[in-house]
Amino acid sequence: MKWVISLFLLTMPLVLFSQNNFYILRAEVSDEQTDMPLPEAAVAVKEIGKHFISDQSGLIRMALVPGDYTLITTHDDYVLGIKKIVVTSDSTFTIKLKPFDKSVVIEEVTVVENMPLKSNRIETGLELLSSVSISSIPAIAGEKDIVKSLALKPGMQIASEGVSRLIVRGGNPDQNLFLLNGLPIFQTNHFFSFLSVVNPMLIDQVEVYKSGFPAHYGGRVSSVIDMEVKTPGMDRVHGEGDIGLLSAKAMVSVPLIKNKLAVMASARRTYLDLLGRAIIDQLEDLNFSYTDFSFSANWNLSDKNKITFFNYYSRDDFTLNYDEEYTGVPLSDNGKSWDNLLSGIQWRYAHGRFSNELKAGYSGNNTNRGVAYGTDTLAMYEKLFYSRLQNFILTDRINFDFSNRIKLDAGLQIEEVQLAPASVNYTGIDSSWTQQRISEGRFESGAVWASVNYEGIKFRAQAGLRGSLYLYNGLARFIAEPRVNLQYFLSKNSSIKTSYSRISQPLHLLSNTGLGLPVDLWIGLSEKRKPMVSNQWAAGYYMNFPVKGRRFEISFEGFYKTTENLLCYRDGFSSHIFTTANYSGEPNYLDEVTADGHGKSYGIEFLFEKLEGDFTGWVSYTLSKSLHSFKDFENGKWFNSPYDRPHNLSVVGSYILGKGWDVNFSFSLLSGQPFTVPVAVYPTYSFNILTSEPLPPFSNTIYINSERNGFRLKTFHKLDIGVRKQLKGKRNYSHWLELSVYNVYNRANSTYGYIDPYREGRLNVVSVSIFPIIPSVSYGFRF
Amino acid sequence: MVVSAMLIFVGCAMPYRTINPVSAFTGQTVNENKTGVVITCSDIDIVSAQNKWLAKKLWRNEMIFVPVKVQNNSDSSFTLSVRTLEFINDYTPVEMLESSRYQKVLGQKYWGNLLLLPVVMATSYYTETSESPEGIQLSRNGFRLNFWSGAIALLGIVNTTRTILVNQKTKKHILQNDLYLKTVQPGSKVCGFICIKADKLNSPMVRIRNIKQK
Repeated sequence: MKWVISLFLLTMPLVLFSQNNFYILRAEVSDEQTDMPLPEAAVAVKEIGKHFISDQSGLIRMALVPGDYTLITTHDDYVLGIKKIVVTSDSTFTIKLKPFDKSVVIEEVTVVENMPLKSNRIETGLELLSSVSISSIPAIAGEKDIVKSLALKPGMQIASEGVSRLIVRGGNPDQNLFLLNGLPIFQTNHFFSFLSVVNPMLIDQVEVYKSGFPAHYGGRVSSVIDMEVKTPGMDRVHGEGDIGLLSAKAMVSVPLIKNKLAVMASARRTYLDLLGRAIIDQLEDLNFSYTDFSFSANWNLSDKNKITFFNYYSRDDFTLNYDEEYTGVPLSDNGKSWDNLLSGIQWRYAHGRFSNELKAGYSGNNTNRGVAYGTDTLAMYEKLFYSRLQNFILTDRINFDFSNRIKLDAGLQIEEVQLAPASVNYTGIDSSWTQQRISEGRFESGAVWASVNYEGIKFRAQAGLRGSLYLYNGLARFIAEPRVNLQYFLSKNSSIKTSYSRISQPLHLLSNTGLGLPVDLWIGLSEKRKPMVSNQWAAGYYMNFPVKGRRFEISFEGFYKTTENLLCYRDGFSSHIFTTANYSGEPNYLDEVTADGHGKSYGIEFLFEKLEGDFTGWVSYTLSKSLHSFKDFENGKWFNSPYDRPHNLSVVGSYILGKGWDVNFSFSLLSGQPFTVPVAVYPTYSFNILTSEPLPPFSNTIYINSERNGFRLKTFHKLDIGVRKQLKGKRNYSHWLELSVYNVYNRANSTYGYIDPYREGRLNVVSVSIFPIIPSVSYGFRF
Repeated sequence: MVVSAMLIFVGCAMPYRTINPVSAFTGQTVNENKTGVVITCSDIDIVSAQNKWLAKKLWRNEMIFVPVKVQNNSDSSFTLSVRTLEFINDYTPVEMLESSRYQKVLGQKYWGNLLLLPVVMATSYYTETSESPEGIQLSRNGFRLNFWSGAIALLGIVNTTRTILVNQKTKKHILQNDLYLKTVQPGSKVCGFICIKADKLNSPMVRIRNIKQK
């Protein structure tokens, strides 16, 4: 008893008169409806610019000095919560979140994305884009687009207006590895390249690596666009949808066994064809559609074991039916279709400091182009061109943390690629035959990698080595790909980074230049055709800082990149040579119609971004140069690559007006697309030998072209604006109306250009613009 | 020789720079309660800043020694422990560590110097051949201290001794100044370190804990 009294006397003064310069707060974050604790909720204290993350019990402990504070709480699938507190003593309070989506804006609440800052990441050339950012950028006809959103970031651009072909640091569009849940996508576009193939509703976060590639990435030399699909909600049914001018899309996730097993499905389809045919008679013969579906399932077997299944399918169809009136034959179809199929299963095991991911997947791409004549009951003949690619992938990746500072990432990947780049199939009444126009078979590749990450107080390093082995036609080629990223912190929030990476690409994409039905042929390797290899050096300065509790980020980055073994068509050749039959029956020799060369690009990139607050957005500017050299063109001299755009400026903003209104805008300014034009012409006047009448001028003209890509189409610039109004919703249901205007001041930007020798009796460069001002409206909902 | 040079270099003990906790209060936060207990902590990780080798070890183990000053103007004594103190770093309560938790971390390794033993033996080995008047070849071999083996052995011994001494000095200094579990008498002032579990120091704060009276 004595010691109890002693202890009481000892501590009593402290109990009665304690007054401190800070207080400890205990916040319990939970679901408003179920009272279930919410782990991994982020609570930002505005006044000190700091985030706290709730533990497995939904608890957060923080210490604050006396005063008024605003707590902004975010959590996936929950409405952002704002709570004002006055700290005068130690206390416990609760933060209850409504199950909703974080992008929903209620009253005058600011969207705070819980995105990691790129200045805190070790990789150079990293860009991060969240689903919130994608949804806040205005788009053509209201169709949100991942690729076009990415093109507003530094070092990235689209090939030409309205086209969803991404150019990264002067590289070709095929040099970008698009990964959807870790599986590569080969055909990345819908709707003749005007839309990217991935439904943005499906995406949770996009990470883009333009340099400083981690060792587990390989296979493309310009960039990696790693798109992470949303995880199905394990707690309740979630869904969202959008109805726009071009298409309707929807997504729903359903928990089958609560907190154990959930599935998610999404779909998108255009109704442009249905609407068009209903409104315009002339469109009855035109059938055009694009659609995509996805299905995924997440199964939490235990705390340590998780299985994920993912499936994605996309398809475009274009058919034009001619009747007898036009063609003189009973019926004819002229059409094209292309599709992607992705399927994969992943088992993830994580225990303590060790984790293992075993993944098996398939990615296939088909392109068909055909013409058929006949009647409804009798086919006279059908000619079909098709291109196939099938990719089977098996990957195992392990991560082991030796300590909090030293971490290992290692693994191996085995791939088989089966190629049929160009085949023509003829089916007639009395005969049928198939020609393989490019004699490509298959090749196997394997890669092993190991990378060590070191995280010091001031210094961080990531050093890795990837070994890629390509086996084809009895040949083997091994390429060692070292990757190094270094980061040194000058202060708590600023750092300098540098990187070197070497990366190889076995597949080449032969593309026609200009607009039209896309005929892209993926081709493999031969004795002459080697894998593309790129070496890239990058260095930069990165800083983030709070201003009145709002986080800003600034980065400057320079790069120098060389690429070997580029491939393109020789002058005078195009995909036409492969898409039509050769009556000799012999395949074309690919190496005779293609030329190989090398490229280099260099530049500096600047980004200033405001990440938090009522107003968020960024300004990015890139000054760069991209050059090619082919020994078959210009005597091997360097010339502008088709994607050289020296100046690239983007300004993107999103402002929350309050009461459910918000305004978004994006402005782009881009140097004109390089273009080759004739600088001299030798007109020859010919006569018809039968009638002796003169043929039109320039009918047999000899052109002397300028330096390759020596001229440019006019400078591209445009402004898009969108306004969104949050409509009055119900519990667990929100909906909104969005009005957007594409190309607000109706700038006639060049989508492509061509030479017209017949206009006004002289040569003309004709710039074609196909996107005037386009207002659109869409309706979206979420539950 | 190259091996021994490397071993000597690697095994060379780094000195421990003694930090006087009294003079360590450059940036500081003060907390005073109404009983007159004034507790102050420095916001500079001075121990690590002055001892680079120790900084790495502490950082790998997520430990920081924070200079703390306690002035007990009350009329009761109290013990500095988890029960009476709350330590805040980076706006979050952090764990305070007892000496048993960090003692192992404080020492520099000296067993590496044992690797010099085979080098010493190798350099001490000798073989001598002589011929007797009868023309018989005689050979003799064994171990004998020479200049190199002596120098290497000496450096090894010096290194080991120096490491042990530095370890003792480090441990003694830290333990002497460890305030954790120390009792502060009424009217007295103590100055020392408290070891916390953290990898970097950011806005550290300390206060006397509110103990609920039953």
